[in-house]
Amino acid sequence: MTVIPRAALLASPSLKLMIEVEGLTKRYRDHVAVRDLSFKVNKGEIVGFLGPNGAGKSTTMRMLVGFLPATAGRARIAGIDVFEDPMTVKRHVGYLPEVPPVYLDMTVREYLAFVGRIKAVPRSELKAEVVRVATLAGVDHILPRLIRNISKGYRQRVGIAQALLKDPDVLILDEPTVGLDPIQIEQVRNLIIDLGKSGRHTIILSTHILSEVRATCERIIMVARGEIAADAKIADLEAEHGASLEQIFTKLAAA
Amino acid sequence: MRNTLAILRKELNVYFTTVIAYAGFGAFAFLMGLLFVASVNRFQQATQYALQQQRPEMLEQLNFNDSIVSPMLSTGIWMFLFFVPFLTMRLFAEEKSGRTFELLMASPVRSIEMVLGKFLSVMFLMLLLCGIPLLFPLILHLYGSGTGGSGVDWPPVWTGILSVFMLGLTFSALGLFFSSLTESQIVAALLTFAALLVGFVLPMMAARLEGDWRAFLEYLAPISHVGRGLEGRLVAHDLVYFGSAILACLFLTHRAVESHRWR
Repeated sequence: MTVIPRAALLASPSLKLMIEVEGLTKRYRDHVAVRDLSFKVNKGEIVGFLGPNGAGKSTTMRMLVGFLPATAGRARIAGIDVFEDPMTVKRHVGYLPEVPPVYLDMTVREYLAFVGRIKAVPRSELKAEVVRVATLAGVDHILPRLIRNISKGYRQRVGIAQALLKDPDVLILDEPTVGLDPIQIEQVRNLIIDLGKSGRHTIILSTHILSEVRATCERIIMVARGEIAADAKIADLEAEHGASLEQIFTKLAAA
Repeated sequence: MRNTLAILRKELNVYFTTVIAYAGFGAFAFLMGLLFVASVNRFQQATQYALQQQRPEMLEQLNFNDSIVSPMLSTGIWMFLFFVPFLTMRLFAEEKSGRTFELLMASPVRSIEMVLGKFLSVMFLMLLLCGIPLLFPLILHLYGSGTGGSGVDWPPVWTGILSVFMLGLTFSALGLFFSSLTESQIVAALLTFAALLVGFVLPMMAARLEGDWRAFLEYLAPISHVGRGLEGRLVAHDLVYFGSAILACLFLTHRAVESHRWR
């Protein structure tokens, strides 16, 4: 594998701006799912992507990871255009879709090894890497089990483990704690906070659980009806509106 | 390349951990076995009849290849009508309905690598499937050899099986294409079945026509390219036909997968 100069750029410590979204729009015929979205995320930030159901959170994330093409606008990750050079971007992004993308007829170990292979984890490191991410996500004790036979919460965690493979610079997590019990939610939150502490990972996570944002993120981007309704630090936002996050959410979502 | 192999490996993993491969091979082997027994019975009756009638020239005409192996294979290919959709329907449809397609599309895997990996996996299944009818000439070879050597003339068996294999691959590529069009495995299987059925009846339609149309439909029909192989003649234009049909299907599949990246 030859080293692409642009990939080297990703590792450079001088790079501050990790995610850059400009005028991102997604239109399905006459329905606009996402309208003219613009925001920036610096390296090491954990950003909560907030909004009611159907606000366009998943659509935006899908565009960021190169699964959905945008109708207009651009998105850059580590300075690389997602739509012009998707392959390079995809090598450095870990993505957890809304529904955990697992193969029911594979064991957890086989599944993680497969995702590792298509993410170009070197053959010699594959085994150890699978164990590493499984341990992080708390599924290391169920590696030999068939995914069909594990609970929804475990499937969700296998999905998280998959996103962590190859230790990506950018993590895009679509509702990472959906379907988990309170203890597991706590574990996943701690995992995200730990990843954030290292300062190497940039994380965007979507949710509509406000306590989750408060626990894990400093900054939130709130979307409603496909547009940005707020983009600020949680503390600033609360001070500005003189209200709690819950009240602001209800107000902005209804507006 | 590595991605293609990773996908191939994953597909085979799923085929062989689920019941799909075993059910397919088992049912195919059973039906081929029935065909074989029926062919052998007919062969015995013909032999007895020739002996009773004291007609040595009829006995000379009788041989394993023309009386058993070739009819068994040419009837056997009708089974592809059911087995190919059964094996190929899940390839892309399952990824879409199970939401794993999103994982593949968000991974650094090119569409062509997905298509090739999946095609190679059915190619492997087809290879095993075509190994099953090889067992029957082998049985004839073991029990039907006399002082004059083996009762089976092997070269036509090889060319026959190769033709059947190429036909199976062509059908599989078509099945792969239909699977890439839909989220529903049932729909994928039905579309494939319908397309294969049209392929099977094309020669019958051609028989009612004359001139250029007849020649065209006959050329277009996949099964009209198996006959020469079953007779022991490997003809270049048959192989070219299968090769180009496979490439065309793979190209269309690639387009269908790639279209998700811009719509």
